[in-house]
Amino acid sequence: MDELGPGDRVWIDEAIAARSPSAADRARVREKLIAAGVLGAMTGAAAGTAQASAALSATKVVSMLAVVGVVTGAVVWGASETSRVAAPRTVGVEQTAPDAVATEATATEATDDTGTGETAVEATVAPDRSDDTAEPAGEPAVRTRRARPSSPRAISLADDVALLHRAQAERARDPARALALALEHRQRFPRSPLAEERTALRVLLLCDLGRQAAAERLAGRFLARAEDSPLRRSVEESCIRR
Amino acid sequence: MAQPAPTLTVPPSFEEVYESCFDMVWRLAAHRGVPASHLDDAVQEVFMVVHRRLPDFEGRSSVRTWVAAITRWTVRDFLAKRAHRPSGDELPPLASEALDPSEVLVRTESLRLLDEALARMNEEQREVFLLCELEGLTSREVAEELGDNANTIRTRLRAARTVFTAAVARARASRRWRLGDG
Repeated sequence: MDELGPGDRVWIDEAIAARSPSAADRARVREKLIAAGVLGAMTGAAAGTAQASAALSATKVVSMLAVVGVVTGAVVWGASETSRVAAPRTVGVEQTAPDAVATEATATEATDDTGTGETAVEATVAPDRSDDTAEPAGEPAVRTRRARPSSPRAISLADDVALLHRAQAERARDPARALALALEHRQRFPRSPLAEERTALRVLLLCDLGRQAAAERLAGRFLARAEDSPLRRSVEESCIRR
Repeated sequence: MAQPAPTLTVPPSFEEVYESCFDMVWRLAAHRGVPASHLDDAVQEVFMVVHRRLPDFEGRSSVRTWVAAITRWTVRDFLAKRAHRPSGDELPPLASEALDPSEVLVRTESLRLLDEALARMNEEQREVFLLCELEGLTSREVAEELGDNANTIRTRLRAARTVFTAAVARARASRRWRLGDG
């Protein structure tokens, strides 16, 4: 194979974007290197470049926040990757193609996930009959479209990501609260495309809370189903092995 | 016949190296498994080594190739040291809250696929794939870094691409299954 095709290449481009440092990352490491005495304060061209970069980033963040806040996104899971490569990500263009099938409407749901012994915290939310690990690792959204702010699906997707993000962010401060948020996420978004992340997070939170048996049960089911998940390592190296 | 004037090579300043290679070092460390919460430290270590060794840089390879080599063994040492500490206690970040939620999902899925493919490659294939496909180095540059010949690098790259496209095919099949198409 002499080179990757555009349909393969697009995955790599997204992964590169996902793992590239932010302006804040650059600034943080720069500060550390300045403190270590190996990097001077910014001067000349470097300073100009950095300032321009910072200004650009700030503009970009403001724009993105505007997009998220005013025109929330919708995901189309069925279109071809070729069209994704070619299609510009135009903000504010309303498209309501019939193939706009959101993940929540198409994913399958498997067996029960209750009985993990998470009752101490789970009492804060009603149990459901879903299982986080039912989601296979799937195709990324192949085309991004913008929907009306009032679109229930768009709002749902934004809420889905935001809630799990909150749970993850809360972990360092209050694992019990974080677990409650993760369980709320499971209740509200049982078929979330981030179900694998949610389950892995719950395992780690149970470990944080010293609930080894519950963590092991949940981890066991996760590992049995998510054979190729890149999150396996995090789960395998959690408290379940200690 | 006049002899051509010897070319003077001006070594790059540390600031120049830092500016031109920071993103690459960050990504390579992340792709090789440094947790998000430790990326700062790992990248800092790499640039501390770069700073220390820069006076010895002879310009026989490109700066990026040279920094990539330093990143490779510094990150390996960093992970080896960290392996003795409690681990498995963190997940990759979901991505910035500033991103459109659909973008978050796209990137999450792409990282899943990439990490799965990297895990299926052997170490040599993974190294070549990261440098050529993700960082844009040529097979000749990678050959310089690894001390192999370019044909060997191209062979490894072909094998790595095959692993990656198989991962893409699995992801596509998974999507079709999820959509109920087969």
